[in-house]
Amino acid sequence: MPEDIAEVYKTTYRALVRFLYRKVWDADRAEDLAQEAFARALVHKPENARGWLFVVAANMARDEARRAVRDKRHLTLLTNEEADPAPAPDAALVAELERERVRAALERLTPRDRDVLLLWDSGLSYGEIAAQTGLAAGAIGTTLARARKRLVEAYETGSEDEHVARG
Amino acid sequence: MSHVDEGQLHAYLDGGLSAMDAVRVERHLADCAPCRERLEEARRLVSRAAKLLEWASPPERAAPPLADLRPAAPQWRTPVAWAATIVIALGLGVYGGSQLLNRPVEPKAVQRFDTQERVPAATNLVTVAPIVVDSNKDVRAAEPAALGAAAPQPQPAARSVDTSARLQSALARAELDSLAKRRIDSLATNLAAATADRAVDVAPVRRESIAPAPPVAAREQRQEGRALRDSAPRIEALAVTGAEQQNRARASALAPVTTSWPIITRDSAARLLRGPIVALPDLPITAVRASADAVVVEHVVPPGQVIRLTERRAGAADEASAGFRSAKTSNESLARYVGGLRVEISGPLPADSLSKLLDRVRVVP
Repeated sequence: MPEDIAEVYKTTYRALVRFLYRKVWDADRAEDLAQEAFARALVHKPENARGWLFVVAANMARDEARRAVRDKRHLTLLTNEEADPAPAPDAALVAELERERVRAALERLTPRDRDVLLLWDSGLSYGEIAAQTGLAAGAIGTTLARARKRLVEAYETGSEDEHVARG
Repeated sequence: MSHVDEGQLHAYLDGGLSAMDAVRVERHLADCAPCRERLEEARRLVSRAAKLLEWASPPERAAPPLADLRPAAPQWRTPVAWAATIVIALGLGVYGGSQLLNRPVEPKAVQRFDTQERVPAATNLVTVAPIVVDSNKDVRAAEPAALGAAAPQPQPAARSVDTSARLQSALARAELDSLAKRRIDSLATNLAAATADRAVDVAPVRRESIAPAPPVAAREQRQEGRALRDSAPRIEALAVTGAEQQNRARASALAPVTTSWPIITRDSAARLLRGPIVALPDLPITAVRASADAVVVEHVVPPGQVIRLTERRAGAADEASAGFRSAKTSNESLARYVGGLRVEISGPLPADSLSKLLDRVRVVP
Protein backbone atom coordinates (compact mmCIF):
# COMPACT_ATOMS: atom_id res chain seq x y z
CA MET A 1 0.00 0.00 0.00
CA PRO A 2 1.25 3.45 -0.78
CA GLU A 3 0.95 4.49 2.85
CA ASP A 4 3.30 1.77 3.93
CA ILE A 5 5.80 2.85 1.38
CA ALA A 6 5.58 6.36 2.78
CA GLU A 7 6.48 5.06 6.20
CA VAL A 8 9.30 2.99 4.82
CA TYR A 9 10.47 5.98 2.88
CA LYS A 10 10.74 8.08 6.00
CA THR A 11 12.84 5.55 7.80
CA THR A 12 14.78 4.04 4.97
CA TYR A 13 15.58 6.56 2.26
CA ARG A 14 18.73 7.91 3.85
CA ALA A 15 19.81 4.41 4.85
CA LEU A 16 19.47 3.31 1.26
CA VAL A 17 21.45 6.29 0.00
CA ARG A 18 24.15 5.53 2.54
CA PHE A 19 24.30 1.90 1.49
CA LEU A 20 24.38 2.75 -2.20
CA TYR A 21 27.04 5.38 -1.69
CA ARG A 22 29.47 2.71 -0.50
CA LYS A 23 28.80 0.86 -3.73
CA VAL A 24 28.92 3.60 -6.32
CA TRP A 25 30.96 6.22 -4.43
CA ASP A 26 29.04 9.08 -5.94
CA ALA A 27 26.49 10.90 -3.82
CA ASP A 28 24.39 12.00 -6.77
CA ARG A 29 24.28 8.51 -8.26
CA ALA A 30 23.45 7.09 -4.87
CA GLU A 31 20.50 9.45 -4.52
CA ASP A 32 19.36 8.75 -8.08
CA LEU A 33 19.49 5.01 -7.53
CA ALA A 34 17.70 5.25 -4.21
CA GLN A 35 14.94 7.26 -5.82
CA GLU A 36 14.68 4.74 -8.59
CA ALA A 37 14.45 1.92 -6.09
CA PHE A 38 11.61 3.65 -4.28
CA ALA A 39 9.88 4.44 -7.54
CA ARG A 40 10.00 0.76 -8.38
CA ALA A 41 8.71 -0.12 -4.95
CA LEU A 42 5.74 2.13 -5.57
CA VAL A 43 4.94 0.08 -8.64
CA HIS A 44 5.77 -3.38 -7.34
CA LYS A 45 4.40 -2.82 -3.86
CA PRO A 46 6.47 -5.60 -2.31
CA GLU A 47 5.47 -7.39 0.86
CA ASN A 48 8.57 -6.51 2.80
CA ALA A 49 9.56 -3.18 1.41
CA ARG A 50 12.70 -2.58 3.40
CA GLY A 51 14.35 -5.83 2.55
CA TRP A 52 13.19 -5.63 -1.04
CA LEU A 53 14.62 -2.14 -1.39
CA PHE A 54 18.07 -3.17 -0.25
CA VAL A 55 18.07 -6.17 -2.55
CA VAL A 56 17.02 -4.04 -5.50
CA ALA A 57 19.52 -1.35 -4.59
CA ALA A 58 22.36 -3.83 -4.36
CA ASN A 59 21.40 -5.30 -7.74
CA MET A 60 21.19 -1.92 -9.40
CA ALA A 61 24.57 -0.89 -8.04
CA ARG A 62 26.14 -4.15 -9.07
CA ASP A 63 24.71 -3.94 -12.57
CA GLU A 64 25.94 -0.42 -12.91
CA ALA A 65 29.43 -1.46 -11.91
CA ARG A 66 29.33 -4.34 -14.37
CA ARG A 67 28.17 -2.17 -17.19
CA ALA A 68 30.93 0.29 -16.43
CA VAL A 69 33.53 -2.42 -16.66
CA ARG A 70 32.04 -3.84 -19.81
CA ASP A 71 31.84 -0.47 -21.48
CA LYS A 72 35.42 0.23 -20.44
CA ARG A 73 34.43 3.38 -18.76
CA HIS A 74 36.79 4.80 -16.21
CA LEU A 75 35.09 5.46 -12.94
CA THR A 76 36.38 8.64 -11.48
CA LEU A 77 35.37 10.06 -8.18
CA LEU A 78 33.74 13.40 -8.51
CA THR A 79 35.47 15.81 -6.23
CA ASN A 80 32.68 18.34 -6.38
CA GLU A 81 29.93 15.98 -5.33
CA GLU A 82 29.70 17.25 -1.77
CA ALA A 83 27.00 19.86 -1.86
CA ASP A 84 27.79 21.11 1.62
CA PRO A 85 29.16 24.60 2.16
CA ALA A 86 32.67 24.33 0.85
CA PRO A 87 35.26 23.82 3.57
CA ALA A 88 38.75 25.23 3.25
CA PRO A 89 40.51 23.54 0.35
CA ASP A 90 42.99 21.60 2.43
CA ALA A 91 40.26 20.27 4.72
CA ALA A 92 38.37 19.05 1.69
CA LEU A 93 41.47 17.37 0.39
CA VAL A 94 42.08 15.63 3.68
CA ALA A 95 38.47 14.44 3.77
CA GLU A 96 38.77 13.06 0.29
CA LEU A 97 41.99 11.25 1.03
CA GLU A 98 40.45 9.69 4.11
CA ARG A 99 37.45 8.60 2.15
CA GLU A 100 39.70 7.04 -0.43
CA ARG A 101 41.57 5.11 2.22
CA VAL A 102 38.37 3.85 3.77
CA ARG A 103 37.13 2.85 0.35
CA ALA A 104 40.31 0.92 -0.31
CA ALA A 105 40.12 -0.68 3.10
CA LEU A 106 36.55 -1.79 2.46
CA GLU A 107 37.69 -3.43 -0.74
CA ARG A 108 39.95 -5.66 1.32
CA LEU A 109 36.98 -7.29 3.02
CA THR A 110 35.25 -10.29 1.60
CA PRO A 111 32.00 -9.38 -0.14
CA ARG A 112 29.97 -11.10 2.55
CA ASP A 113 31.72 -9.34 5.42
CA ARG A 114 31.55 -6.01 3.62
CA ASP A 115 27.84 -6.31 2.94
CA VAL A 116 27.06 -7.23 6.52
CA LEU A 117 29.10 -4.30 7.76
CA LEU A 118 27.52 -1.85 5.34
CA LEU A 119 24.01 -3.06 6.07
CA TRP A 120 24.65 -2.64 9.77
CA ASP A 121 26.07 0.82 9.19
CA SER A 122 23.01 1.71 7.17
CA GLY A 123 20.86 0.97 10.16
CA LEU A 124 19.54 -2.53 9.65
CA SER A 125 19.08 -4.70 12.71
CA TYR A 126 20.73 -8.06 13.24
CA GLY A 127 17.46 -9.76 12.34
CA GLU A 128 17.12 -7.81 9.11
CA ILE A 129 20.71 -8.44 8.12
CA ALA A 130 20.25 -12.12 8.79
CA ALA A 131 17.17 -12.26 6.61
CA GLN A 132 18.83 -10.28 3.88
CA THR A 133 22.08 -12.22 3.73
CA GLY A 134 20.85 -15.65 4.65
CA LEU A 135 23.17 -15.84 7.63
CA ALA A 136 21.96 -17.13 10.96
CA ALA A 137 21.26 -14.32 13.41
CA GLY A 138 23.85 -15.78 15.71
CA ALA A 139 26.51 -15.44 13.05
CA ILE A 140 26.02 -11.71 12.52
CA GLY A 141 27.98 -10.71 15.58
CA THR A 142 30.92 -12.86 14.54
CA THR A 143 30.81 -11.49 11.02
CA LEU A 144 30.71 -7.90 12.24
CA ALA A 145 33.53 -8.53 14.64
CA ARG A 146 35.68 -9.87 11.84
CA ALA A 147 34.65 -7.19 9.37
CA ARG A 148 35.37 -4.35 11.76
CA LYS A 149 38.72 -5.77 12.68
CA ARG A 150 39.72 -6.20 9.05
CA LEU A 151 38.50 -2.75 8.14
CA VAL A 152 40.52 -1.05 10.83
CA GLU A 153 43.60 -3.13 10.08
CA ALA A 154 43.34 -2.54 6.36
CA TYR A 155 42.91 1.17 6.91
CA GLU A 156 45.88 1.45 9.16
CA THR A 157 48.19 -0.58 6.99
CA GLY A 158 46.83 0.53 3.66
CA SER A 159 48.68 2.77 1.24
CA GLU A 160 47.25 5.08 -1.41
CA ASP A 161 48.95 3.51 -4.39
CA GLU A 162 47.34 0.17 -3.81
CA HIS A 163 45.01 -0.75 -6.66
CA VAL A 164 42.37 -3.31 -6.00
CA ALA A 165 39.76 -4.65 -8.34
CA ARG A 166 36.28 -3.45 -7.62
CA GLY A 167 34.18 -6.25 -6.22
CA MET B 1 29.27 -20.23 30.93
CA SER B 2 32.68 -20.28 29.27
CA HIS B 3 34.31 -17.08 28.24
CA VAL B 4 32.46 -14.78 25.89
CA ASP B 5 33.70 -14.98 22.31
CA GLU B 6 34.26 -12.02 20.01
CA GLY B 7 31.02 -12.45 18.13
CA GLN B 8 29.02 -12.42 21.32
CA LEU B 9 30.83 -9.38 22.61
CA HIS B 10 30.05 -7.46 19.46
CA ALA B 11 26.50 -8.70 19.41
CA TYR B 12 26.16 -7.60 22.99
CA LEU B 13 27.48 -4.13 22.18
CA ASP B 14 25.26 -3.87 19.13
CA GLY B 15 22.16 -4.90 21.00
CA GLY B 16 21.85 -7.94 18.81
CA LEU B 17 21.56 -10.47 21.59
CA SER B 18 18.31 -11.75 22.95
CA ALA B 19 17.47 -10.51 26.41
CA MET B 20 18.31 -13.90 27.85
CA ASP B 21 21.68 -14.11 26.16
CA ALA B 22 22.50 -10.56 27.14
CA VAL B 23 21.81 -11.33 30.78
CA ARG B 24 24.04 -14.39 30.57
CA VAL B 25 26.85 -12.32 29.14
CA GLU B 26 26.48 -9.73 31.84
CA ARG B 27 26.56 -12.33 34.55
CA HIS B 28 29.77 -13.73 33.16
CA LEU B 29 31.35 -10.33 32.80
CA ALA B 30 30.56 -9.55 36.39
CA ASP B 31 32.89 -12.36 37.41
CA CYS B 32 35.50 -12.24 34.69
CA ALA B 33 37.98 -9.39 34.46
CA PRO B 34 39.73 -10.58 31.28
CA CYS B 35 36.43 -10.69 29.48
CA ARG B 36 35.63 -7.23 30.71
CA GLU B 37 38.91 -6.08 29.24
CA ARG B 38 38.05 -7.75 25.96
CA LEU B 39 34.69 -6.05 26.04
CA GLU B 40 36.39 -2.68 26.24
CA GLU B 41 38.64 -3.57 23.36
CA ALA B 42 35.63 -4.60 21.35
CA ARG B 43 33.93 -1.36 22.24
CA ARG B 44 36.90 0.60 20.93
CA LEU B 45 36.94 -1.43 17.74
CA VAL B 46 33.24 -0.87 17.15
CA SER B 47 33.72 2.83 17.66
CA ARG B 48 36.76 3.04 15.41
CA ALA B 49 35.09 1.16 12.59
CA ALA B 50 32.05 3.39 12.84
CA LYS B 51 34.22 6.47 12.65
CA LEU B 52 35.99 5.20 9.55
CA LEU B 53 32.68 4.52 7.90
CA GLU B 54 31.56 8.04 8.75
CA TRP B 55 34.44 9.32 6.65
CA ALA B 56 33.07 7.32 3.76
CA SER B 57 29.53 8.59 3.98
CA PRO B 58 27.48 10.70 1.62
CA PRO B 59 26.50 14.22 2.66
CA GLU B 60 23.21 14.22 4.48
CA ARG B 61 20.72 15.75 2.08
CA ALA B 62 17.05 15.98 2.67
CA ALA B 63 15.16 13.36 0.73
CA PRO B 64 12.82 14.60 -1.98
CA PRO B 65 9.21 14.43 -0.87
CA LEU B 66 7.81 11.02 -1.63
CA ALA B 67 4.98 12.75 -3.46
CA ASP B 68 7.52 13.58 -6.10
CA LEU B 69 8.34 9.96 -6.70
CA ARG B 70 4.92 8.47 -6.41
CA PRO B 71 2.34 8.55 -9.20
CA ALA B 72 0.51 11.85 -9.47
CA ALA B 73 -2.83 10.38 -8.56
CA PRO B 74 -4.33 7.62 -6.52
CA GLN B 75 -4.08 4.36 -8.35
CA TRP B 76 -7.27 2.79 -9.55
CA ARG B 77 -7.29 -0.92 -9.19
CA THR B 78 -9.87 -3.25 -10.63
CA PRO B 79 -9.31 -6.84 -11.48
CA VAL B 80 -9.82 -7.34 -15.18
CA ALA B 81 -9.15 -10.28 -17.41
CA TRP B 82 -7.90 -9.21 -20.79
CA ALA B 83 -6.76 -11.22 -23.72
CA ALA B 84 -4.34 -8.55 -24.86
CA THR B 85 -2.81 -5.43 -23.48
CA ILE B 86 -4.05 -2.07 -24.60
CA VAL B 87 -2.44 1.27 -24.19
CA ILE B 88 -4.58 4.31 -24.63
CA ALA B 89 -3.26 7.82 -24.65
CA LEU B 90 -5.81 10.53 -24.52
CA GLY B 91 -5.42 14.14 -25.39
CA LEU B 92 -2.15 14.00 -27.23
CA GLY B 93 -3.38 11.31 -29.48
CA VAL B 94 -4.65 7.83 -29.65
CA TYR B 95 -2.21 5.15 -30.56
CA GLY B 96 -1.48 1.62 -29.64
CA GLY B 97 -2.50 -1.88 -30.43
CA SER B 98 -4.52 -3.13 -33.33
CA GLN B 99 -7.79 -2.65 -31.57
CA LEU B 100 -7.55 1.10 -31.53
CA LEU B 101 -7.37 3.93 -33.91
CA ASN B 102 -3.85 4.17 -35.23
CA ARG B 103 -3.83 7.71 -36.46
CA PRO B 104 -1.87 9.90 -34.06
CA VAL B 105 -3.39 13.22 -33.17
CA GLU B 106 -1.06 16.11 -33.72
CA PRO B 107 -0.78 18.47 -30.81
CA LYS B 108 -1.31 21.56 -32.91
CA ALA B 109 -2.92 23.22 -29.96
CA VAL B 110 0.39 23.79 -28.25
CA GLN B 111 1.42 27.36 -27.68
CA ARG B 112 4.79 28.39 -28.86
CA PHE B 113 7.37 28.89 -26.15
CA ASP B 114 9.37 31.65 -27.61
CA THR B 115 10.04 33.50 -24.41
CA GLN B 116 11.70 32.25 -21.34
CA GLU B 117 8.86 33.16 -19.06
CA ARG B 118 6.40 30.62 -20.36
CA VAL B 119 5.75 27.64 -18.23
CA PRO B 120 4.30 24.36 -19.54
CA ALA B 121 1.22 24.81 -17.42
CA ALA B 122 0.19 27.61 -19.73
CA THR B 123 -0.51 25.28 -22.55
CA ASN B 124 -4.10 24.57 -23.35
CA LEU B 125 -3.31 21.02 -24.10
CA VAL B 126 -4.45 18.47 -21.64
CA THR B 127 -2.02 15.69 -21.15
CA VAL B 128 -3.47 12.49 -19.94
CA ALA B 129 -1.14 9.71 -19.11
CA PRO B 130 -1.73 6.34 -20.69
CA ILE B 131 -4.01 3.85 -19.09
CA VAL B 132 -2.12 0.66 -18.78
CA VAL B 133 -4.27 -2.40 -18.89
CA ASP B 134 -2.41 -5.56 -18.27
CA SER B 135 -3.81 -9.02 -18.58
CA ASN B 136 -1.78 -10.24 -15.67
CA LYS B 137 -2.22 -7.38 -13.36
CA ASP B 138 -4.87 -5.07 -12.09
CA VAL B 139 -6.04 -2.26 -14.23
CA ARG B 140 -4.52 0.98 -13.22
CA ALA B 141 -5.54 4.27 -14.58
CA ALA B 142 -2.57 6.53 -14.64
CA GLU B 143 -4.03 9.91 -14.07
CA PRO B 144 -2.81 12.96 -15.92
CA ALA B 145 0.64 14.02 -15.00
CA ALA B 146 -0.11 17.60 -15.85
CA LEU B 147 -3.27 19.42 -16.49
CA GLY B 148 -2.86 22.79 -18.00
CA ALA B 149 -6.23 24.37 -17.72
CA ALA B 150 -5.66 27.10 -15.23
CA ALA B 151 -4.02 29.73 -17.38
CA PRO B 152 -6.03 31.85 -19.80
CA GLN B 153 -5.99 30.32 -23.22
CA PRO B 154 -6.06 32.24 -26.47
CA GLN B 155 -7.47 29.48 -28.63
CA PRO B 156 -8.98 26.94 -26.37
CA ALA B 157 -12.27 25.83 -27.76
CA ALA B 158 -11.72 24.82 -31.34
CA ARG B 159 -8.64 22.70 -31.01
CA SER B 160 -9.61 20.90 -27.88
CA VAL B 161 -13.03 20.16 -29.23
CA ASP B 162 -11.34 18.74 -32.25
CA THR B 163 -9.28 16.50 -30.05
CA SER B 164 -12.33 15.60 -28.06
CA ALA B 165 -14.24 14.66 -31.19
CA ARG B 166 -11.48 12.42 -32.38
CA LEU B 167 -11.32 10.95 -28.95
CA GLN B 168 -14.99 10.14 -28.99
CA SER B 169 -14.76 8.40 -32.33
CA ALA B 170 -11.77 6.47 -31.15
CA LEU B 171 -13.70 5.37 -28.16
CA ALA B 172 -16.60 4.31 -30.26
CA ARG B 173 -14.38 2.23 -32.44
CA ALA B 174 -12.40 0.71 -29.66
CA GLU B 175 -13.41 -2.58 -28.23
CA LEU B 176 -13.14 -1.88 -24.60
CA ASP B 177 -14.09 -3.46 -21.42
CA SER B 178 -16.99 -1.53 -19.95
CA LEU B 179 -15.04 -0.59 -16.89
CA ALA B 180 -12.15 0.84 -18.82
CA LYS B 181 -14.59 2.61 -21.06
CA ARG B 182 -16.30 4.20 -18.10
CA ARG B 183 -12.94 5.30 -16.86
CA ILE B 184 -12.04 6.78 -20.21
CA ASP B 185 -15.41 8.47 -20.34
CA SER B 186 -14.76 10.15 -17.05
CA LEU B 187 -11.36 11.29 -18.21
CA ALA B 188 -12.91 12.53 -21.43
CA THR B 189 -15.43 14.43 -19.35
CA ASN B 190 -12.59 16.02 -17.51
CA LEU B 191 -11.00 16.87 -20.79
CA ALA B 192 -14.20 18.57 -21.88
CA ALA B 193 -14.45 20.34 -18.57
CA ALA B 194 -10.90 21.57 -18.94
CA THR B 195 -11.63 23.11 -22.27
CA ALA B 196 -14.52 24.99 -20.70
CA ASP B 197 -11.92 27.10 -18.94
CA ARG B 198 -12.54 25.58 -15.58
CA ALA B 199 -9.57 24.58 -13.57
CA VAL B 200 -10.11 20.92 -13.07
CA ASP B 201 -7.87 19.01 -10.82
CA VAL B 202 -8.19 15.57 -12.26
CA ALA B 203 -5.13 14.45 -10.46
CA PRO B 204 -5.55 15.20 -6.81
CA VAL B 205 -2.19 14.99 -5.21
CA ARG B 206 -1.86 14.21 -1.56
CA ARG B 207 0.49 16.86 -0.41
CA GLU B 208 1.25 15.45 2.95
CA SER B 209 4.66 16.44 4.01
CA ILE B 210 6.34 13.12 4.18
CA ALA B 211 9.87 14.26 3.78
CA PRO B 212 11.86 12.55 6.48
CA ALA B 213 13.11 14.45 9.50
CA PRO B 214 16.26 16.52 9.02
CA PRO B 215 19.46 14.58 9.54
CA VAL B 216 19.92 15.47 13.15
CA ALA B 217 21.83 12.85 15.09
CA ALA B 218 21.66 10.43 12.23
CA ARG B 219 23.45 7.78 14.17
CA GLU B 220 20.92 7.89 16.98
CA GLN B 221 18.18 7.59 14.41
CA ARG B 222 19.71 4.45 13.07
CA GLN B 223 20.00 2.95 16.53
CA GLU B 224 16.43 3.84 17.29
CA GLY B 225 15.21 2.39 14.07
CA ARG B 226 17.05 -0.78 14.81
CA ALA B 227 15.50 -1.15 18.21
CA LEU B 228 12.06 -0.99 16.66
CA ARG B 229 12.67 -3.82 14.31
CA ASP B 230 13.01 -7.05 16.17
CA SER B 231 11.49 -9.59 13.88
CA ALA B 232 13.36 -11.10 11.01
CA PRO B 233 11.46 -10.01 7.90
CA ARG B 234 11.05 -12.24 4.92
CA ILE B 235 12.87 -11.11 1.82
CA GLU B 236 10.82 -11.00 -1.31
CA ALA B 237 12.71 -12.01 -4.38
CA LEU B 238 12.53 -9.71 -7.32
CA ALA B 239 10.92 -11.73 -10.04
CA VAL B 240 10.55 -10.57 -13.59
CA THR B 241 7.22 -11.94 -14.64
CA GLY B 242 5.56 -12.56 -17.93
CA ALA B 243 4.10 -9.08 -17.72
CA GLU B 244 7.50 -7.70 -18.58
CA GLN B 245 7.52 -9.48 -21.89
CA GLN B 246 4.16 -8.03 -22.73
CA ASN B 247 5.43 -4.61 -21.83
CA ARG B 248 8.40 -5.07 -24.08
CA ALA B 249 6.16 -6.00 -27.00
CA ARG B 250 3.95 -3.07 -26.24
CA ALA B 251 6.84 -0.63 -26.13
CA SER B 252 8.10 -1.60 -29.56
CA ALA B 253 4.64 -1.54 -31.09
CA LEU B 254 4.02 2.08 -30.27
CA ALA B 255 4.18 4.66 -32.96
CA PRO B 256 6.56 7.52 -32.23
CA VAL B 257 5.00 10.65 -30.84
CA THR B 258 4.65 13.61 -33.14
CA THR B 259 7.38 16.21 -33.28
CA SER B 260 5.24 19.35 -33.29
CA TRP B 261 6.41 20.37 -29.85
CA PRO B 262 8.01 23.79 -29.80
CA ILE B 263 11.75 24.18 -29.68
CA ILE B 264 13.09 26.00 -26.69
CA THR B 265 16.47 27.19 -25.58
CA ARG B 266 18.60 25.23 -23.20
CA ASP B 267 18.15 27.92 -20.61
CA SER B 268 14.41 27.57 -20.82
CA ALA B 269 14.76 23.86 -20.53
CA ALA B 270 16.94 24.21 -17.49
CA ARG B 271 14.38 26.52 -16.01
CA LEU B 272 11.54 24.12 -16.65
CA LEU B 273 13.47 21.24 -15.21
CA ARG B 274 14.87 23.28 -12.36
CA GLY B 275 18.23 21.93 -13.26
CA PRO B 276 20.52 21.29 -16.21
CA ILE B 277 19.33 19.02 -18.98
CA VAL B 278 20.80 15.60 -19.43
CA ALA B 279 21.80 14.19 -22.78
CA LEU B 280 24.04 11.75 -24.55
CA PRO B 281 27.51 13.22 -24.41
CA ASP B 282 28.79 11.71 -27.64
CA LEU B 283 26.04 12.97 -29.87
CA PRO B 284 25.14 16.51 -30.83
CA ILE B 285 21.79 17.72 -29.61
CA THR B 286 19.67 18.60 -32.58
CA ALA B 287 16.75 20.06 -30.69
CA VAL B 288 15.41 20.69 -27.23
CA ARG B 289 11.66 20.77 -27.12
CA ALA B 290 9.01 21.29 -24.52
CA SER B 291 6.08 18.96 -24.36
CA ALA B 292 3.17 19.54 -22.07
CA ASP B 293 4.97 18.40 -18.99
CA ALA B 294 8.48 17.46 -20.01
CA VAL B 295 11.54 18.55 -21.84
CA VAL B 296 12.44 16.43 -24.82
CA VAL B 297 16.05 16.35 -25.95
CA GLU B 298 16.56 15.05 -29.46
CA HIS B 299 19.62 13.47 -30.92
CA VAL B 300 19.95 12.40 -34.50
CA VAL B 301 21.84 9.19 -34.96
CA PRO B 302 23.19 8.75 -38.49
CA PRO B 303 21.71 7.94 -40.91
CA GLY B 304 18.82 9.95 -39.62
CA GLN B 305 17.09 8.24 -36.73
CA VAL B 306 15.90 10.42 -33.93
CA ILE B 307 16.52 9.45 -30.35
CA ARG B 308 14.40 11.23 -27.81
CA LEU B 309 15.13 11.75 -24.18
CA THR B 310 12.04 12.81 -22.28
CA GLU B 311 13.07 14.50 -19.09
CA ARG B 312 11.16 15.55 -16.03
CA ARG B 313 12.19 16.56 -12.58
CA ALA B 314 12.07 13.37 -10.51
CA GLY B 315 8.60 13.53 -9.27
CA ALA B 316 6.64 15.30 -11.96
CA ALA B 317 6.66 11.78 -13.26
CA ASP B 318 4.32 9.65 -13.88
CA GLU B 319 3.11 6.32 -14.37
CA ALA B 320 2.95 7.53 -17.92
CA SER B 321 5.94 5.38 -18.39
CA ALA B 322 4.56 2.50 -16.40
CA GLY B 323 3.51 1.08 -19.71
CA PHE B 324 6.87 1.46 -21.33
CA ARG B 325 9.04 -0.87 -19.40
CA SER B 326 11.41 -3.23 -21.02
CA ALA B 327 13.11 -5.99 -19.10
CA LYS B 328 16.83 -6.14 -19.44
CA THR B 329 18.83 -7.84 -16.74
CA SER B 330 17.52 -6.07 -13.70
CA ASN B 331 17.16 -2.74 -15.43
CA GLU B 332 13.46 -2.95 -15.85
CA SER B 333 12.63 0.18 -17.74
CA LEU B 334 13.67 2.46 -20.50
CA ALA B 335 13.77 5.17 -17.92
CA ARG B 336 16.39 6.16 -15.44
CA TYR B 337 16.99 8.75 -12.81
CA VAL B 338 19.92 10.94 -13.68
CA GLY B 339 20.86 14.16 -11.98
CA GLY B 340 17.54 14.40 -10.17
CA LEU B 341 15.60 14.00 -13.40
CA ARG B 342 13.53 11.12 -14.57
CA VAL B 343 14.70 10.37 -18.09
CA GLU B 344 12.94 8.17 -20.61
CA ILE B 345 14.51 7.19 -23.90
CA SER B 346 12.71 6.37 -27.08
CA GLY B 347 13.66 5.85 -30.67
CA PRO B 348 13.61 3.42 -33.57
CA LEU B 349 16.21 1.13 -32.08
CA PRO B 350 15.94 -2.19 -30.34
CA ALA B 351 15.39 -2.03 -26.62
CA ASP B 352 18.87 -3.30 -25.90
CA SER B 353 20.49 -0.47 -27.82
CA LEU B 354 18.20 2.07 -26.26
CA SER B 355 19.06 0.70 -22.88
CA LYS B 356 22.76 1.03 -23.56
CA LEU B 357 22.28 4.57 -24.73
CA LEU B 358 20.27 5.33 -21.66
CA ASP B 359 23.20 4.31 -19.53
CA ARG B 360 25.34 6.95 -21.16
CA VAL B 361 23.00 9.82 -20.45
CA ARG B 362 24.79 12.51 -18.50
CA VAL B 363 24.20 15.95 -17.12
CA VAL B 364 25.22 18.41 -19.80
CA PRO B 365 26.73 21.61 -18.49
